[in-house]
Amino acid sequence: MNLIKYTSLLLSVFVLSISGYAQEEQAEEKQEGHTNQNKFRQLYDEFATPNVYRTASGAPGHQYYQNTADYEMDITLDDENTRLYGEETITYTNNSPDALEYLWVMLDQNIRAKDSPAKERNSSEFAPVTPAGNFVNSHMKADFDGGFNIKKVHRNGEVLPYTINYSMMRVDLAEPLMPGESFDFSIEWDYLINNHTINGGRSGYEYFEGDDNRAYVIAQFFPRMAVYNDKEGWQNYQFWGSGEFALPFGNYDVKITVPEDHILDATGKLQNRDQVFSKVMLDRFEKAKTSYDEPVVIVTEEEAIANERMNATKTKTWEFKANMVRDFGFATSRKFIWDMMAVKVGDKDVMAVSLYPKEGNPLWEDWSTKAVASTLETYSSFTFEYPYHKAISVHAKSQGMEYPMICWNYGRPDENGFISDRVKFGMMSVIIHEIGHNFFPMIVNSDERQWGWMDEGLNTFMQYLSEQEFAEKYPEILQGNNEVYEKYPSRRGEPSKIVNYMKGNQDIISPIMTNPEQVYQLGNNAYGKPATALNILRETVMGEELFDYSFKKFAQRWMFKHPTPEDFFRTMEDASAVDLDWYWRGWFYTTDYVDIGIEDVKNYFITSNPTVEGKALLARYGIDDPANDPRTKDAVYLLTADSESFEASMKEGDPLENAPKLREYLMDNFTQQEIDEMKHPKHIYEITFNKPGGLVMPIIIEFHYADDTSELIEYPVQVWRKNDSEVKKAIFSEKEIVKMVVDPKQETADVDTSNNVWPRENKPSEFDAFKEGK
Amino acid sequence: MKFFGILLVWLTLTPATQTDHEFYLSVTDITYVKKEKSLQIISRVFTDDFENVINKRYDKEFKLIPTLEVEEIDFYIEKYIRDKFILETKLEVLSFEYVGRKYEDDMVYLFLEVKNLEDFEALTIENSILTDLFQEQKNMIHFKSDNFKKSFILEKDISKKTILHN
Repeated sequence: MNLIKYTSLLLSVFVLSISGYAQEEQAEEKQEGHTNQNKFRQLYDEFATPNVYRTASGAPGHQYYQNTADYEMDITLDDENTRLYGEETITYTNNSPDALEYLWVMLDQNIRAKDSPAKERNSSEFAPVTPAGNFVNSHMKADFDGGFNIKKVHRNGEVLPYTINYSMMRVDLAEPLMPGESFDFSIEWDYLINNHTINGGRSGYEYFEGDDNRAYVIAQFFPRMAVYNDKEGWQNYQFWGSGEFALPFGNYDVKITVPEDHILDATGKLQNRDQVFSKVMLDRFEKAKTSYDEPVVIVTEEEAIANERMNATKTKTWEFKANMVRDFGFATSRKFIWDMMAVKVGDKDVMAVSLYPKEGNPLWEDWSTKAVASTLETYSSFTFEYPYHKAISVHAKSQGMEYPMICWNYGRPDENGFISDRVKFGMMSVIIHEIGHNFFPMIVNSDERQWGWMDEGLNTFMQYLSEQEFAEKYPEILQGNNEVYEKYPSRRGEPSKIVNYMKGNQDIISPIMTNPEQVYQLGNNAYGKPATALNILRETVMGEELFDYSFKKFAQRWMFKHPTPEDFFRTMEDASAVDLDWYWRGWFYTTDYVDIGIEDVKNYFITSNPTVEGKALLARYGIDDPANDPRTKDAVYLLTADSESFEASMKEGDPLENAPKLREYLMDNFTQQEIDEMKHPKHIYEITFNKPGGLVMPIIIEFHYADDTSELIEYPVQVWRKNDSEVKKAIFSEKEIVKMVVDPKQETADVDTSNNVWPRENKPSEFDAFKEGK
Repeated sequence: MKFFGILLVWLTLTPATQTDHEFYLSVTDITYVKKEKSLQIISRVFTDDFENVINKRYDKEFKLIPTLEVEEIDFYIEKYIRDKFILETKLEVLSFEYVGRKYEDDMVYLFLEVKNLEDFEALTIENSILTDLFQEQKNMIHFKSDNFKKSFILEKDISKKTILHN
């Protein structure tokens, strides 16, 4: 038995008896019963029962299935009238065990139809005063005439009956589509393309007045199969605008016809490069294949400017094939500059590609393709090797949107070519983010319509890691307009950056586990908070090794499959043996926040003389003369300076001297050598931690000692399992503690740090600090 | 409830199809320190947006970057703030001092102070900063006075709100 155990035993008798008193006092009151509300209870009520499709370990079950949709499409762009025409044949394969009586096809363009209910999805009211321009925009302007014009739905010419309910089209089948069977059918359609800089949208064109050209970034442009699965049946939740997409995997064979002077790139492998590339472009392309450090320009700025002046009436058809993708997008314009660079992923070469109008320079030529390549490297190391052959970053004003192998990104220098830090880092961050989406959700294919956070949160977390690595590879980017940054200024990921959101007004905060249409602040809800929660999980709760193994396990288990949040939650726990139900519950299912503080610190002293408090306690057990009672003759008494029995001399010297009975006990029971090897703490503290915040977290505390050294101690989160508002810790220290700081590195997103320091510090407010500094 | 009315209108103004990128958002802390009779305001605005609006509005080519700044810039910043940020009690429109500004990350922090302000029953806050540049600009307000806290969002059409306090 060592000294520490012995004394804490006594202490616990003391604590026990106090709570005994409290219970007696309340005995008269009748108490209500309750269900288990413990923050550490397991998530049985929230999680579905595991089954043959999805296992309790978070892996796909032995009968996991997913249906596929293959597309053959002929697309034609009418640049002059900004209209897109298409004919597509879909082959839908039913791998489910269910007979399907109809198929659901998504018509996302219908959000811009004149009669779109999405326009009226929100409440509206009049302000007493409104600027004329706003008034005209809101109440007088003719609506944009968008939405799909579905011309024909047929099978080999035979018309199929269908019903359109806003953004969903039900195609009725004469016979149910049985398990294992495929069904092919065709749709002819066209629609008016929106100017995304005016009408908004994740797709559309930007018009450049100076040279009378458009740059198109085209997506959601064709009727797409909805997902049928074991969780939702048909996922036919309408497209209201915030919840993105749920799409099955499939193979695509797409021909796109555009004016012959356009430069175009798309999802998939270009099939007719010889026909659409000039000889010069082909030569440059060959060079790019082995250029691993610098991009090779395929179409130069000068050539792009020359293209801008053309106005071809002839057309060119670009042909692409893509396997195992969940969607298809393309970008086309006379204005595009084009560069490429090879990047090694595992033992495979992937092409990192950028397309941008001259307005993107001087920024895009320097950093877009390098950001693409670096992102593929980082993500591949944390998940799986990037399986596609290329990844394209397209510059489009105010856009940030992802599709398989291709994405649109903002970030443009001003008219004079000046690049502010915000533009530069904004551009790099959005490229890293959107290229990263190739992994989540393009390959780890979660249901974005239902769970916005699952792709955005995981991706924003990975974005943070990739940004930091990008700056390590290219430290020159850290040179800012005014300063040299110490590290990449990531806007999200670090715990301190989510504090303002988490401590905000609860009326406008939703749990992460909320459908994107119902959240109040999508950016914080789907991106910032889950990304930060994962970062805290990695750095503070699980540790990098356990987290990284489990995260990679999740990505690899669900690569080219459709995971749900539970599959993620279960895998992270299953692969690490870290119980995380409390973490998922608190961070993902509630809007609680972290606030842990030090409420009180008491100094204790040791004596062998029975104290007033000690005597009172022992008297309750019938020990009236503790000094002489054989049961307590070697008792050690702990007291604070407030006690009547306290004497100033107790503060000084060795506790063993102050409690001679303790010394006698040691001598009776241990050899001198054993005694020498024991700790001889001189300072005794009892810390009371309180927890105004609803979230439980490990208590991280830094002790600053009188000799200017310090020590970081972590108490496991389980310390809160029996008392959710307050816990105490008895500290026996050899050195005097002069200061204690909870969460000194601000790694838990503690929303109020004013209670983290003992003794309390009166820090000037941010306002006063600024005023004083002036 | 009025508060939710405003929230819903805020959502109305977001475009029908939201792209993947951020809202335009500023965050303003307004703190009443009773014992000092001081109303202290810190408004955090994206530096690029703020530079952009000053230049567009006053036809200038300022850079909000310490090494490239000219002295004249504070005149226009103050002018702009006084145009777009108005505080009013039942008794009067409050006059505030433009204490200064600082940069942090990609934000500029604007410091304003109303001095000698007796405790008040109601405070009307109008913040239409950047709404002249961005239709979708939102200005978040966090008001605090001792233990009283109130947060809400102002935007182009609803740029004013009154806090009842005490």
